This record gives sequence, C-alpha cells and structure tokens, in this order.
Amino acid sequence: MAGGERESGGFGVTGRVSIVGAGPGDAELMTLKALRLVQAADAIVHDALVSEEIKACFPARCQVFDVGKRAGDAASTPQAEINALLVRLARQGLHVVRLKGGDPFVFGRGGEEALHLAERRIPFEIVPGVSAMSAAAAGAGIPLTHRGLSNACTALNGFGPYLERIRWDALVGQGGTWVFYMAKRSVEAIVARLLAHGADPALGVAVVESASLPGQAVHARRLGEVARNPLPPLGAGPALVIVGPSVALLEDLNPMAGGLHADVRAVSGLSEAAR
Amino acid sequence: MDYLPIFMKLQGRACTVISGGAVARRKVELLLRAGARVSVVAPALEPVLAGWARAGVLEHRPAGFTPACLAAAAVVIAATDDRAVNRQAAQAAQHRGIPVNVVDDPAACTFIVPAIVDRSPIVVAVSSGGRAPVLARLLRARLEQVVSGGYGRLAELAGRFRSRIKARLRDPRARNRFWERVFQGPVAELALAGREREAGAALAVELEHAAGRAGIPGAVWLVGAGPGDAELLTLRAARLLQEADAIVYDRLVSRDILALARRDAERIDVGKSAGHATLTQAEINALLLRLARAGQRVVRLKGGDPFIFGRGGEEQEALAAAGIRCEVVPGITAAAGCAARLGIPLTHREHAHSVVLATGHPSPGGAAALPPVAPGQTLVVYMGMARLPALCTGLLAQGLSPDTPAALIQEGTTERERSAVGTLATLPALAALHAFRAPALLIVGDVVRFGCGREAGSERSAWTAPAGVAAGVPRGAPAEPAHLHVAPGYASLNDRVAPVAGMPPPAVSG
Ligand SMILES: C[S@@+](CC[C@H](N)C(=O)[O-])C[C@H]1O[C@@H](n2cnc3c(N)ncnc32)[C@H](O)[C@@H]1O
Repeated sequence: MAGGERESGGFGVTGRVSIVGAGPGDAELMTLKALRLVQAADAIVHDALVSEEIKACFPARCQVFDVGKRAGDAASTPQAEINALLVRLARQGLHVVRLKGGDPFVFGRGGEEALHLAERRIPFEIVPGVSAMSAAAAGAGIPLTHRGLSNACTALNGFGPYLERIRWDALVGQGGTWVFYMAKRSVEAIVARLLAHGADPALGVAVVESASLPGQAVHARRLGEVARNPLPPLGAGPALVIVGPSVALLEDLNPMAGGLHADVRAVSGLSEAAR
Repeated sequence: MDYLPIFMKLQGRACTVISGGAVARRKVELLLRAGARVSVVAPALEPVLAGWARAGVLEHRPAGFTPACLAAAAVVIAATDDRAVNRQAAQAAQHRGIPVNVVDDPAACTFIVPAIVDRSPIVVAVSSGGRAPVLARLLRARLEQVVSGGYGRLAELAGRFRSRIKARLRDPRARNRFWERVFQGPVAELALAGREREAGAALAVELEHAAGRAGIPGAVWLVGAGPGDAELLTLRAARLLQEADAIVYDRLVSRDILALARRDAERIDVGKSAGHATLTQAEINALLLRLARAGQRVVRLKGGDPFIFGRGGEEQEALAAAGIRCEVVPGITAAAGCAARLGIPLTHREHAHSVVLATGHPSPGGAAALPPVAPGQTLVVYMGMARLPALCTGLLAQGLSPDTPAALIQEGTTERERSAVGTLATLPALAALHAFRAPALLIVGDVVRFGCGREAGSERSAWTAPAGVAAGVPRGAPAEPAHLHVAPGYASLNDRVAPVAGMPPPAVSG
C-alpha cells in the first residue's frame, strides 16, 4: 500500500525510526506509547526477546523483520546489518519501529543504533520500556532498593567474557543490590567471584527466569550455600541474577503462598536453605 | 441505528457463497468458523478454496449462478465482481426470505458483516453501517487490544463455574456483585495472565468467601506509574487504574495519569509536597491495610518503579505480614525515562558495562556519600537536587575527573522537562544559574557524551547540526517530532549551549 506508507510516514522522503522498549515479555507490560507506535508502524524490526504475545499485536499490513539476537550471541544478525536495515527502511519513507526487549538503553544497544541514525540524519526517538530487572524484582518480590538494607542498585553485564571487565573489589565495596543481565550461564562464576572478593556469604542470590512470562521461575539461595546446594538447571527462557541483602526478604514473603502471590510460590530454595 | 446487531447460529446449516475469488474466501472462512456447511457457487475456485473443496471442507458447485443454487440456504453471500450477477442473487434470496449480503453493494444487502474481534466465546462486532469500513477496522484494532486473548479464557472459566455459582448464591443481586468482583479482581488477573488453573482455584476461594458471607478480601497492587508522561504507563497499570476502588498515590504521579483512573474511585494523596501534612510510611502502610481489609481493590501508585527508590518493599512486607494479597506491577524507572529523553544510553558496549542507581539522600545513619564509582560505570543519582554541589564535590574527591560528563534533568518526560549537560565541575553552577529544582535526576559518566548525539570530538554527529536535519521534518508535522531528537525542541537544546572549557559543552533546555 504505497499510499499508506506515505500517509503514515509523514516525513516526505525520509521516514523515521522509533527505538522502542517492549518491556520484559508480558504484553501488558508494554507502555501505552509502545502499543500505539507498534500499531501505527509501517515496518517493525524486532529482537528475539520480543515475545509471541507482543508479536500478536503487530498490525497485519506492516513489514516485520526478526533480527533475533540471542543475548550476547555473536552468530545472530550483526549490528551493522541491523543498522543498515533501519536506514534503508526509513529512507523508503516508512515509520519504522525498532522494538527491543526491556529498555533500549539498558544493555539494549539502543545507543549504537541511535547514533547510526543520527549520523545519517534520520529522525528518531527513544521510547523507554520496563527493563527486565524491574520485572524480575516485581515478579519475585525482591525490592532492588530497600530502606536500611540496600540504598543502591547496580545493573551489570553478566555474560561470560564481560565478567573479566568487572572490578569485583569495587563492586563489593559499593554494596547495594547487584543485577546481572545475560548471566544465565555464569551464575556459578558470579557467585564464586563475589565470594572471592569478600562479599558477605549471607547475602541472597536469586535467579529469575522468564520474568513476567508464563514460565517465570525464581530460585534463591544464600551466596555461601550455593557451593553445597547448587541452583537448579534453568529452562530455555532469558534469566537474570539478583544478588544483595534485600533478596533475603523472600524469607518473610514465602509463607504468603497463594492468591496473587502465586509468583512467590514459585520461589524455591532460600527459606529451606536458611532453616 | 441503521442495522440491528444480532449473532446468528449457523452450526451445521447450509450457507451459499457466490464467487470463488479471494474476497469470497474470507467470507467462507468466517462461515466455516461459525460451523456452517458452505457451498461455493462459481465456475472456478482460487487455490485455497480449491484446496478446501478437495479436502471436503466445503462443497463446490462449478456452475454459473441460478436461483436454484439458493435452495435451503440459511444465509447467502454474493461476492462476484459482476454487479448484475450479485444483484440477481440478492433478488432471488430476498424473494425467498433468505438473508443476503452483497460485497461492496450495501443497497443490495439485507444484512452486513461487521468487523470482528473473535475471542470466543467473547465476540465483539463493529460496524459503521457500510459508511466507513476502514474506521470500523481501526476501531476493531483498538478493541483487539482492550479485549485481549485472555478474555476468552476468562469467559470460558466463568462458563464452567456458572451453574455452581448459581446454586451457591441464590440472590441474583449478590450474584451480580460477585461476578463484577470476579471479572475485575484477582481471578481475572490470573486468567488474563494465562494462569487458568490458579484462576480456577482463586475463583473457588472467592465463591467460598462470598457464600460464607465473609466478604471478599481486598488486595493491593503496588503499581509503578513510570517517569511522568502518562503514555509511559504500562497497559497493566492503565487497566488496574480502571478497575481500582481506591488509588493511593504520591506527589510524583501526574494529574494526567490520575485522569486515567475510574471516575468513582477514591483518590488518596499521600504525597510529600512541601508545606502539606504528609503521611509517614507507617501511616501509609496502615492506610493500605485498612482499605484492603474493607474489601477494596487498592492501587498503590508510585512514580517510576515501585522497587527502585519507591519503598515498595516496605509496603509489600507490611501487607504480607498482615496476610493481605499484594502484587507488584513494575514501571519504567526515572533513569530509563530520562535517559531516553536525553539520548543517553545507560550502558554502552565500549564505554559503560554497568550502571549504578544511587540516591542523593543521606542514609538514615547519616553518612551521605555516593557509592564509589568505577571507570566504565554510569552513575544515576535519584533525589540528588538538594545536595547537587556536595554530591559533585564528593565524586571529585573520589578521584573522578572534573571533566567527567554529567547531565541533570528536571521532571523528565513531562511537559515541564528541562535539562542541562555539563561536567562534574560545571554542572552545579549551571543548575544554580538556571534555577533547577527537584524532582531531578543526575546522570554521570562517559555515556553522557552521547546525549543528543554530542559525541565529544565528533564533527560528524547529525545531532550537532540540527538545522540540516530539521529540514527533513515538514512544517506543521504532528506533535510527535517534539520527541524526536532532531526536532526543534532538541535544536534549541543545542542553541543555548554556552561553550565552557572542557568537554562536553554544557547545554540547557526548557
Ligand atoms: C541483551 S539484554 C537486553 C536487556 C533489555 N534491554 C532490558 O532492559 O531488559 C538480555 C538480557 O535481559 C534479561 N532479560 C530480558 N528479559 C527477561 C525476562 N523476561 N526475564 C528475565 N530476564 C530477562 C536477561 O538477562 C537477558 O539475558
């Protein structure tokens, strides 16, 4: 529908790109703005993290490109190709929605895409989304900051090679809550390094898989107990790791099994281990 | 009203479609979905229809139209591209009293086919009476969002419980109240979230409560309202606002957001605005308990995300201790909202491997220092406006360079947004000069250089040449471009830059 393109593109020859956070996966955790943009898009370029339920909201007539990048996986569509695709589509006069899991500016490489577009003078906007750490915290019932327990929260790249770049001494010194993204295969390594750099073994560590999605699962331990009582193997969903004093609050919440707290019912480990 | 909407039972009944083309196929599909036995009258069939005919899904009568084709049909649809044939079919059908629809010829129709949202058993039909089919389709698209797939599951669930509930709750008014609760409360929540087994269990519990006249227990949702812009509310937050009996909110929650709440919901401001008596955290906890115990569905609405400097943990604990159900709905935290507005990525593959969210409030114990910041970390300080100079000095004392880029954004994502970009050395003076006020967020680190595209030392960045880019934006374009980084709003951000030694150049907007 060439007419449609021109109408909704609205920028003459140059289209525009909305770099949009889709949230953690549950379609209801999209923002009103994200939904509005998606429904008006001429083309949508999305990641692997964008859930089926969200894809079901895509309008029928729009072009959809799955550039499915698995977290930290080099074998997926290279960033340069994605950048080029965005430029090509925008230059066709389309309104392109670049839809990313979570928030585009939290381990989302939204900055690189924005810069690429800016350098080519393609109008764009950034629309924030609910980042995985907020969804994981909400789903598990773990406050990321908490009076008297944790007055800072640090989000880190937990993907294997990046662990080398973390200044563990400084991190442990900072205190607060530590959230490791893309940490699915490095849980043990993270725990080991934290302990080796003097983290308190009584701190809680929680692995949250598929936050906000149907398969959501939460497993928690004390740092010092992981060696003895390893965290169970994970499923196929994305996962992040939360470490800090407020993770231990799960103990108080565990008795609340039932009703709305079914999420917490899925929590395994911490209180048994603590007993 | 030009047409009366009715839903027709076609299971096992004969229906005739005249034409074997693509338009006809869509009609055939609809009829099949409703369980009809479909005959297609057409000399030839398009490939999909032909496949269905071969598979015995429909009957193909390979002939031209004759009135005899209509024998015993419950419904006739004519979709050929020959107007005369269509009219002839319509006439024959009308003559026999058979409802008939002719595609693209409203005058010849005795019924029209609406745009449909199919969440069986829930089905929504929209029609413009043939006047604006595209508008009807657009409305359908909106309804598709409102009536998510979960509603079908919810209706299924209700159907399964219907007779049981009728037996237990004899009074029709009590039953009505019960269903209203169920469809707007935790049971619906669970069913909509696809957790049908739990929804069934919760429904059974609710029934016991209602039947035992124990009243339905209230529940509290701790909901993140996002950074300010009402459009940055999640769909779930917006829905819960529509369903809540009571809304307990903070000062950070904007009026636009409250406007989305159910009209007759009780609104309680516990905000900490200067000069007003405000509630202590203990008082807020007590208020939530009281409302929930009175059977209310309470939305506790907080700026940003409830679990990031939102004290949601304390409320969650108080509710859990009292055995009151509580669910946390995450929101966009201020850091993400503000970073998006300034174009500052919080993490970056080369320049920032982690981001620290910290508070500028002194901790209860007294020590007011920010956590030590490592190179390659982005630091975001919430609630730091009042102590901005001390915070910047503290960071310099930690050993950060005075040239470290730093940005300040006041009331980010709202209409009142203002921002300033400078360095740790220059920002406090800039903020004072331009009278920045709370609520404001401080972002410190190399990534600030990317803010609005000003990568230091880069002459190429388009963001630094807004005039050229703005040419691509037509005059009188919709309000949208105000959010685009290349739009005039951002141009002005660069215009007001007074060059200061060091990098990046400070900028103030708003
Ligand atoms: C490349 S990062 C993208 C992060 C995203 N931009 C955000 O703000 O959430 C991918 C990582 O996010 C985390 N993640 C994303 N969605 C998640 C979910 N629903 N549950 C748990 N972790 C998730 C996982 O750690 C995953 O490896």
